[in-house]
Amino acid sequence: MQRILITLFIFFLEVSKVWAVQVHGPPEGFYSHILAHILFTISILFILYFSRRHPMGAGKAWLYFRISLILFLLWNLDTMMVHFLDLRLPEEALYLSPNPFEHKLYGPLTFERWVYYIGRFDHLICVPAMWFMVQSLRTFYREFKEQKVRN
Amino acid sequence: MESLPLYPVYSVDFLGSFLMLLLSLGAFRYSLELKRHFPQSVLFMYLFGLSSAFVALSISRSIGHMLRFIFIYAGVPHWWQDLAPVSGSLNSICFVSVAVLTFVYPSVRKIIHRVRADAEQLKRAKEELEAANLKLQELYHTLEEKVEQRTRELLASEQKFRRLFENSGEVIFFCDAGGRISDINPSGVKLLGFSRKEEIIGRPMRDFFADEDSWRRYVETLCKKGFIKDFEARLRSHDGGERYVIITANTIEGEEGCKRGYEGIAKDITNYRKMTEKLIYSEKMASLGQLAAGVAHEINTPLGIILGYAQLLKKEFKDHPELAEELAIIESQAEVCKKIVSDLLSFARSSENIRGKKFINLNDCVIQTVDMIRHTFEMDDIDLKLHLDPELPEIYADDDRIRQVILNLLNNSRDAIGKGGEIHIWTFVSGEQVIIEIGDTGCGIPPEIKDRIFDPFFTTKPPRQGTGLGLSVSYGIIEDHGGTIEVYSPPKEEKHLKYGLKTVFVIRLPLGSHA
Repeated sequence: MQRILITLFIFFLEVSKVWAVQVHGPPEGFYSHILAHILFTISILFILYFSRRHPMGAGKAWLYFRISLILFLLWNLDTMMVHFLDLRLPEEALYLSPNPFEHKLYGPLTFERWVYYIGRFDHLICVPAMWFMVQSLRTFYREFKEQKVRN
Repeated sequence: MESLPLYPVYSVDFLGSFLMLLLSLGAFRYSLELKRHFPQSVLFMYLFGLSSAFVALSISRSIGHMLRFIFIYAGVPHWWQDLAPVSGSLNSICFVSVAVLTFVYPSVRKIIHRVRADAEQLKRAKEELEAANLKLQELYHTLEEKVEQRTRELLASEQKFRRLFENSGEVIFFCDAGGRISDINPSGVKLLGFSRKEEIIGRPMRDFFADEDSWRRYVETLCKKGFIKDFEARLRSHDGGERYVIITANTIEGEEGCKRGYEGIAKDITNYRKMTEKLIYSEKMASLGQLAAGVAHEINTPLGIILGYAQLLKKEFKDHPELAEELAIIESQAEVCKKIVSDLLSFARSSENIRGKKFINLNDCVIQTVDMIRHTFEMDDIDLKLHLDPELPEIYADDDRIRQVILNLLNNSRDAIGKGGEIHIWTFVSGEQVIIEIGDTGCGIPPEIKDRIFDPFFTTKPPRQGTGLGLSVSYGIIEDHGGTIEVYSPPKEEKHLKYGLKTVFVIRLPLGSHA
């Protein structure tokens, strides 16, 4: 057991540089991460299609749930786009000094770099997505609790 | 602008990560509550899985974003470089988990729906089965009650009809398709002269019909019409006697319409018929008596004149033997006619005869008459055997006329026997009557003439050997005494049969009254 833990520790230390919304240096990590994103995207499309084909219900909870899924879909597309743009970005385009407040994205500020820069604000999509998810669950909870009380 | 600062991105990441963490925990909490409250909901299970994956994703990403900023700011960026792949991989795993959950959810939902539908169906089937079982139990109880009630009713009905069948005075019988008696009530058994039903069951009904033609008509009508009403028939009983019955019967048809036999009721009308016959006979004899009396009275006077004048002329012409002889013939023939007229008057119950009645002993009449003819009878080898009751009471009667009746009957017996035979005479008391029975071992009386033997001038003897008034006169005398005379040929009683008697005359006279 101890040996397994040591092996795992070494494995985590030895893996090469991976960036999260971040960059994934070595191609395997990047590909698997992108594939995971694609899978996530397809699954969202699938559940949206499925819920449309076989309506699971109506009301606010379902509306919030669908909005949440659509936002997560957009977030996935955004993050995948940023991942690909990050790959295309030359190393000298980013100034990464020890002080993070001084970190910069150098010009020339082309459309692609603007997209990259704006795309990196992905939390502006995923936080509302998660908020709608919470609202959906909250509404479900309230509705079903009321129904249970009524019954 | 030559460059864009990244700290706004880091700030949004930092804050966003924190919010993501909070929101995902909030989502997890609601999903957990939902799952707890509705453990059977597939949707909430899926949402719980989704929330859990989002919590993991939020933790991974949020920690990643925040630590990256902190590590870089703290001057240990290589720490972040070591942790980043772990964070990235965790993110990937979370994405895959969410995807797998999402892909699996519809299938699980479908399967669970099917299972639930099956369970629901099973539940419904069970409920239906229970309801059916309940209904069946109710039905069973109802059926049981109904069967019990029907059985009771059936039993009551059966007992009712059984009592009717067993106690009915009429004959009730059932025959199978072959005409064999399958059941008959005690009255039928008695009528047919048997002691047990089993002796009759299985025997053809035809055997009991005395007349073949009657049987054929009975069967033909029954087969043709399906029923027969008030059919008069003569049945032959086990002891050889005959009973007159009126049969009403109908065929029994099976479910397919085929005849399974017939059932019927027979009413014994023997006594009624005998009484009717007697009545008719009495009426006939009364009419004949009136006629005979009228004729006798009308003839008696001219006959007396003829006889008187014949006797007078015979005296007048006694010197003329030829004439006297012819007048003697006229006189003798007139005497014969007078005798016939006298007999006719006897038959006609002339009131003049009442004068000779007195209390007499019937045994004395029998003995006197037998003594008178014994010698003649012995010449024909005929034995006269007397079975006289010594305690016989006296009756009020005309002894001469009673002797005449006995003599007539004995003469008839002798004629029936011819040479060699026996004549038995019984006297006894039965109830309020004195009975005298005279039986012989002669040839018997053919059934076809049995009804006519008491008719005046009816005789089976050759011409000039009998007037045919003997039995008529006897009948008249007995009727005149308020009694009856009957003939049994063949006799029925054992005491007659054991002596081999073929004909028995039974005379009943009223005991000790002025008839």
